[in-house]
Amino acid sequence: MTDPATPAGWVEAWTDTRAPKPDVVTPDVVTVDVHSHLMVPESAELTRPHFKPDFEPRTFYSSPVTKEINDEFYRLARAKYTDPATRIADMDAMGIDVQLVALSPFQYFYWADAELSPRVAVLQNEAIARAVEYDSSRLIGVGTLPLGHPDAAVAEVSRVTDLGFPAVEIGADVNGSDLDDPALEPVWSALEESRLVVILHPAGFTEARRLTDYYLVNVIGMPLSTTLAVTRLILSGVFERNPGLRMVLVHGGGYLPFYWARTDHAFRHRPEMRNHIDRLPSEYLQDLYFDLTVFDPGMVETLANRFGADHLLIGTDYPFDMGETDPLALLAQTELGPEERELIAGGNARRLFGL
Amino acid sequence: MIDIHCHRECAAAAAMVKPEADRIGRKPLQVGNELTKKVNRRQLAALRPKMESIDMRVADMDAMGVDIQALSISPYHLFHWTEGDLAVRAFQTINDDLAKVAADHPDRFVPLGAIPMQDPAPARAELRRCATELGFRGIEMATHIEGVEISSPGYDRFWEDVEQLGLVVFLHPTGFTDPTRLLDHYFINTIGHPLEETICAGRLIFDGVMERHPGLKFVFAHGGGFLPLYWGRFDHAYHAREDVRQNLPKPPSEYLDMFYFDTMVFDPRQLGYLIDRYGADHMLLGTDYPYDMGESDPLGLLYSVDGFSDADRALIAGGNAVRLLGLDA
Repeated sequence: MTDPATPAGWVEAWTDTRAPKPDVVTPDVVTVDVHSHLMVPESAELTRPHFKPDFEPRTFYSSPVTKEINDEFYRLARAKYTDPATRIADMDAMGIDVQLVALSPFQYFYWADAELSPRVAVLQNEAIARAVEYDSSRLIGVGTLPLGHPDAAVAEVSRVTDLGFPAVEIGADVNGSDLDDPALEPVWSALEESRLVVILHPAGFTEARRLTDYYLVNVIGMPLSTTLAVTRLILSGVFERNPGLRMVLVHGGGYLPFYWARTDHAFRHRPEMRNHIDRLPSEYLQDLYFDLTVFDPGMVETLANRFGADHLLIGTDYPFDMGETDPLALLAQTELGPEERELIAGGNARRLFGL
Repeated sequence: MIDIHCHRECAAAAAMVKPEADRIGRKPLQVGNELTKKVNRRQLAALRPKMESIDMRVADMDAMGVDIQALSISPYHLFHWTEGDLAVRAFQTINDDLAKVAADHPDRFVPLGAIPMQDPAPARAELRRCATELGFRGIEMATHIEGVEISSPGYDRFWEDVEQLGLVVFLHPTGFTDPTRLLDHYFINTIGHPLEETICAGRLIFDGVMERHPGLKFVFAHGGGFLPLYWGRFDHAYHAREDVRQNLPKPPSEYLDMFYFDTMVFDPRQLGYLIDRYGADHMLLGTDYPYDMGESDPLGLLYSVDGFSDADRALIAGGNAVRLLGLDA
C-alpha cells in the first residue's frame, strides 16, 4: 500500500484503501455530501496573465515543501477535480448518493478587475452547470460570485438562481477585506431574497506569516479564517439585518462553534461587541449549519449536543487531502441515535437545499 | 483552592522601562480600535488599586473562594522588547517583587517568575535564580518572544533547564503578532488569545519540544485556546501529509495530552469537554483576576459541570496545582 501521507497515497485513499467495514450501518436515507470541490481549468487560464503571488495568501505563505506536495497532488488528482465519472465512482466508494459541487477556493479569483471578474464567474458557473449535468440525480451545482465587485456579484446571484443551483459558495474574506464591509450589503440582501443557501468556505488566512511550516496555513488558517468571518458577520449585524440568510460553515464551522463562550463573555462585558446586535453572539451562531469535516466523532458529538443534529450536514472536502474519506464511518462512530444520524446523513440537506 | 491564572502588575519595573518605552513608542494594550483603547485605559486605571493593594486582593480571593493565587505578572509587563542590562534589571525587579508578596503572605501566594526570554543567556540565569535563590516553583511564559517562537532552536538549552528544574510553565499570550485583521470587536483578545495558544501549542508539538522534553509541565491559559477543543484537523493533517508529519514519531494529539489547561472557558459544556478529553488530572482552576475577561465565580463554573466526581473537582480546584507546583513537599 502506498503511504497515505503522500500525494499518491491520498489519491488512492479516496477509493482503493477503503476497507469494507461491516459495522458501518448506512443510514436509511439518501446521503448528501454538501462540501466538495471541482476545478475549472479554463478560468485559471483566463486569469493567469493577471495573477500576482500575494493575491493568494495560502500559497504565498506556504513553505516550499508544501507547495511541492500540493502541486503533485493536483497533478495526480486532476481527474477527481475535473471528471464527473471519476467523482461518481468515488462517491459510490464513500456511500454518498448526492454531492454538492463547488469551486476550489484557490479559484475564487476575487482579485480580478471589474472587467475580468464577472466574465470569470460566468465561465465558472457555466462549467459547474455542465459538470453536474453529467448526472443531475447525483450532482448538484453550487455557484460562485465575483465578490470583489459587489454589483457584478448581485447580478450573478440571479444567474446562479436561473442555473437552478440551490446554493452559492463564498470566501471568508475578499482579498483581505472582511465580509461585513458595507460595500457587500447589497450582496447580502440579494442572497437573502434569492433564498440561495450560502456555503462559507475560507481560502486561507491573509496574515499567515507564522503559519508557514507544517501546513499550518491550512490546518490553522482555514478554521481561523472562518472564525474571523462568521464572528464579524454576527457582531456587525449582517444576520440581524438579513434574518432569512441561511448559511453553512465548512470544517465544522472552524473554531467558534467549539469555543464560542469567550465571545459571549466579551459581549456581556465589553462595549465593543454591542454596537450592532442586542442578543448574545452564540444565538446567531445557533441559526447556522455546520459540516462534519472535523475528523473526530467526539467533536461531531460536541457540535450535535450544542447546535442540534438538525444543524449538521455531511461534508467530505473531496477531493482534497484535508478531506474526510469515510464520512459514514465517522458518523457511525458517534453515539448519536439513528434518527439523528439520518438527519445528518441526508435529511437536513434535503430540507435545507430543497432537494 | 488554587488559582493558576491571575495577574499582578509591577509598578517599579514599569517605571524603570518607561523612558525607553517612551523613546521607542511602546504602550501597553494599544492594539485595537479607538473604543478598545479607551476601554482598556479606563480598565487599567480602575484596576490600579487591586494591582497595588494586597488587602483588596486577599478580600477578592476570599469572595471567590480562592485560597492561594499562583501569581504571575500582567502579560503587558513582560518587557520582552527591552535589551541588555535594562532587561535583566526589569525582570529581576518583577521577580523580587513577586517573591516579596509571597514571603509576606506565604499562605496566600505562590509566585510564577518572569523570564527575560529575549536573550537566552540571561534567560537561563534568571530562570536559575528564580528556582534556586527565590524558591519559585513555576514561571510564566509568553506564546512568542517579540515574534520568535518559544520552540525555536535557540531555546533548546533553556527548556532543558526548565525540565531539569521541574518548574511549571504557565503559558499566557501577549497579543497576536499580526493583528491587522483583529483590530475591531476586541478580536485581539477574544480571537487573538486562543489563536496564540493554538499556534504556540502547535509549534511546541511539531517542532519536537515535547518529544525531546517529555517532562515539561506546560499549563495553558484560557483552556488552551482553540486547539484542545478542535484537535482533529491536526491529527488528520499528520496522517495525510509529509510536510506536517516530518519526523514526529507520534500524532499531535498524543503530545497535546501531555499539556495542562486552565478552566477559563466560561461555559460548563466547553469545560466538561476538556475534563472529559484530557482528564481531571490535567485541568487547573483559573480566574484571570482582576480583568473584565476574567471568571468571577470559578467554583460555580466548575460545579456546574455535570458528570464528574468530587474527587475530580478537588483535583481541578487545587489538587493538581499542589502536585505540579510541589506545594505538598
